[in-house]
Amino acid sequence: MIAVETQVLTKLYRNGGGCREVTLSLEAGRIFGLLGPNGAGKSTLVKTLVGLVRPTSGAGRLFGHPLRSPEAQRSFGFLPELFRYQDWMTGRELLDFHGHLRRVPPRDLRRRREEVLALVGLIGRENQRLGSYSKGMQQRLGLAVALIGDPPLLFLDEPTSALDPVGRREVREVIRNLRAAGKTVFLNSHLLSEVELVCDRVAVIHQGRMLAEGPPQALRKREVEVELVADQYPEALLSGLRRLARQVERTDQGLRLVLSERADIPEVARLAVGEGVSVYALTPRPPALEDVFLELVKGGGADNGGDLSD
Amino acid sequence: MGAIFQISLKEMVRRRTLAITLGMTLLYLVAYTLTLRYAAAAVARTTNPLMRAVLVPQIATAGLYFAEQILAFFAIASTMGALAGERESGVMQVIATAPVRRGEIVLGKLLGYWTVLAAYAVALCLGVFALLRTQTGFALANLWPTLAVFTLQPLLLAALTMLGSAVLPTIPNAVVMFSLYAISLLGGVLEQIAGFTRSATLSAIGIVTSLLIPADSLYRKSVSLALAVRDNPLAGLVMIGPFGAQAPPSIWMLVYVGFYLAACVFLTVWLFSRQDL
Repeated sequence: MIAVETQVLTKLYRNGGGCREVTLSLEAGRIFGLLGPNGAGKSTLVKTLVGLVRPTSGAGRLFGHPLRSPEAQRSFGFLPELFRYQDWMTGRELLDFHGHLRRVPPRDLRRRREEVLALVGLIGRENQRLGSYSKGMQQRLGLAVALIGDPPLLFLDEPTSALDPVGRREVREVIRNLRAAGKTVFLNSHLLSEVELVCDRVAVIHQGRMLAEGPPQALRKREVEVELVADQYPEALLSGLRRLARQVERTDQGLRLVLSERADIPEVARLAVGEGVSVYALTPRPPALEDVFLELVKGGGADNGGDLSD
Repeated sequence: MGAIFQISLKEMVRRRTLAITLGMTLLYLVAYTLTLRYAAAAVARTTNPLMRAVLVPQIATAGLYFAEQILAFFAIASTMGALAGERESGVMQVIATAPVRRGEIVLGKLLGYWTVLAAYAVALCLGVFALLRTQTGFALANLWPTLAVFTLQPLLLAALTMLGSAVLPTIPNAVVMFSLYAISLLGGVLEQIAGFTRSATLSAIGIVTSLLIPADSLYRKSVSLALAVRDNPLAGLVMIGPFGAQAPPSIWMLVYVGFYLAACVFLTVWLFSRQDL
């Protein structure tokens, strides 16, 4: 089942910002990470999907229901990027209020409230006024609010932005548990490590346009870095490697090579052996998502193609 | 809409605005009680029939006038960020993504504000009535119609401020609303002067301001109802002064207020429903 689907969805603000011609399809039960630098259009895309802003053109569906339809609105919970709940309310009142808004049956509300409080680690804090909550606690409570209606889909916009490392880890754990429970999570983040750690699929957005989309591994395998350690590096070997690799660099240990693809690694070995060199190590180092992200953003993704699905 | 109405009610009761307003209202009523005691003593001492006839009614209108000011400030202060404040804090992003129509959000909030404001207006008006009666023996007329019209003013201001809140940030909205209210008061005073001087120009300015924001007209209507003392030959004098109603608004002004309120609510729903949050 497709949880989130958009066709050339565009939302442009008067200042020219927004997102442009976004087409994506997200299967239910997956964790989808939308990566992009600040101001890339991530939040605009999410706001369009959750019905807070009207698209300029294009269309989208949530579980087959058109955006902003009552069925679509019932299908998700939402944690916005920047928010500060009413300081005069208690955590319990806030959850009950959103439970009522999300049509949680009154007989289930108490149980549901306890479940989400336990999930975000706020048991025992629910009777405190929100004015006394730290930013991290507010963020956790925001996650609890998104979960109170037990929706099949969650839009989380920078869910760990206000959290310390421990809190971030806990939220990642919550997200993994949600996947285990069959939920679909649409995660907006500029924290690559976070996306890399939890997401099944990743898309990179920059200046409002989707540059690439696919599994994190597919993004990573776009190029590969290899370290070659040998007894000697004759000129014939170096010129052969320069023809093969995108980049050849001397390091303290040996040579650092950037290859276009993983399939070039055996060729490096053949070249070295062919030149009579004794190879002590040939170690591939897959580039972090961060490197790929920076490359995509720098290059505008024009030569990268859009879909990286394997 | 029920959940939004309930939370709006709670918000009105829990926030400091109500507690502060209650405190200041008490202070006002104490000051008013002292004023009435002085007035009652002065009337008892005087042999001047004119002073006997107009002093207490004048203080009665002043009592209603300043009570209405407190209500106006309370209405504007408690609704100036009704939509804008929650938009600015990000809270509205979560509420508006729930399966609830934007119109329900507006109506639920407004009904919550209206309920508290109406209860406060009734209590305050009854307090002024009761103090007048107990301290001076002066009985205002038409209790229920006066109460109804008196209560309409904060409701109208709340609806108008909520409309402003749909399009303006909190503080600019408050500036606009307090300014509009000041214009309304000016219009009311000009109409009073026009009634005294028979100036068509001042009267026209007063009518235009009343149409722009009929808040002061509602006060003038309520005071004309409260002081409709038929057996007082000096009734005309009672209505002279900044707090009186030389030319009380007709019933058509109340009809206009009805349409005005409906337009405010409709426009707020329409604007908020079309808004990108």
